[in-house]
Amino acid sequence: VIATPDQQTPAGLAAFHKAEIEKWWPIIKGANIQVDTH
Amino acid sequence: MTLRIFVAALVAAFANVAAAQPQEYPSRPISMIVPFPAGGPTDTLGRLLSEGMRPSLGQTIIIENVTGAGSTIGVGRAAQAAPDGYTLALGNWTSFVGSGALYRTSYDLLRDFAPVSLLTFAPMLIVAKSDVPANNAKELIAWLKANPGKASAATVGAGSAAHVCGLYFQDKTGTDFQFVPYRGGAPAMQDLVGGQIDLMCAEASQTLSYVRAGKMKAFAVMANTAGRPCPTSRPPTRWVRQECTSRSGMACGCRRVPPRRSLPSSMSRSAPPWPIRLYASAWPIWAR
Repeated sequence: VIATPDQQTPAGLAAFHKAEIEKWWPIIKGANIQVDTH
Repeated sequence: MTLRIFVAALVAAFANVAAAQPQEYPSRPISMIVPFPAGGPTDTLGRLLSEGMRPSLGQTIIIENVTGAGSTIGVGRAAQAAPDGYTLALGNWTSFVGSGALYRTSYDLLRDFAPVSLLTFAPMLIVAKSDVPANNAKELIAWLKANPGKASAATVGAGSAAHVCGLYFQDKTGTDFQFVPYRGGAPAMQDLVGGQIDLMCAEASQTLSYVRAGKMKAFAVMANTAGRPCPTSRPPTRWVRQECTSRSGMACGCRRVPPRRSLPSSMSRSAPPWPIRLYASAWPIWAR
């Protein structure tokens, strides 16, 4: 699905990106996912 | 929960460069870093985009696939580039949301990049190799419950959309399977088709051709709807119904086709100018 015209703008992406991080980071961090770093 | 991810977004390294841009941008080739392997959905979109942008920019866009560490290596490379609009990053939910929550990175996803354009969304599908002995979601869950800890699911790294989707599926169904990280969707698809891996949460764009060909099975959509309902009309935007795209009838959506030569007014509010130049070049590609 193509993003809406407003979301396609730099300002639209900035707002969307910030909202996605604010939505998902607490969920992901709360899931106690471990990153394999070796 | 709906896990409807954005498949691609175009950003560029950023600093206070609004006044530093030459008028004739771009005057040389542009590098577009794709933090996933060639052949995956983000890479495919990047190649289509770069080819489409070339005529209006008058410059070549060179794709660089820089993979690893849940896409943070490629994104980090883009963040360290000169903030002049000549290094772009084409990423997705995994690279610009998910991995940032888990990996210790040298960049700030919100501060160190200049957004250019959000491109596409996709629902996540749960697919499995073709010889999994299940033919619908109920049978898949029963099979997983009968074999706890034995099945394997591909991800494209910790915190990737595929990983978060798989964790959510486990949580809601009471199933247990192992996660196997890949560098990107393309090698994961190869192993899924080859039968080396059992399951994956993946975007429709990378799976439907295999589902249609009978090389893998699709079981569920991790979204309330597979696509937006198509309104009958909403001038001046045309809505074009796309074909229903899988044998299970899961993904039937519509594509919004903005009218040509009518860029959204909000683009004029953004700065610095080169994201606008790039955006103005990329945007009409979707109207074709």
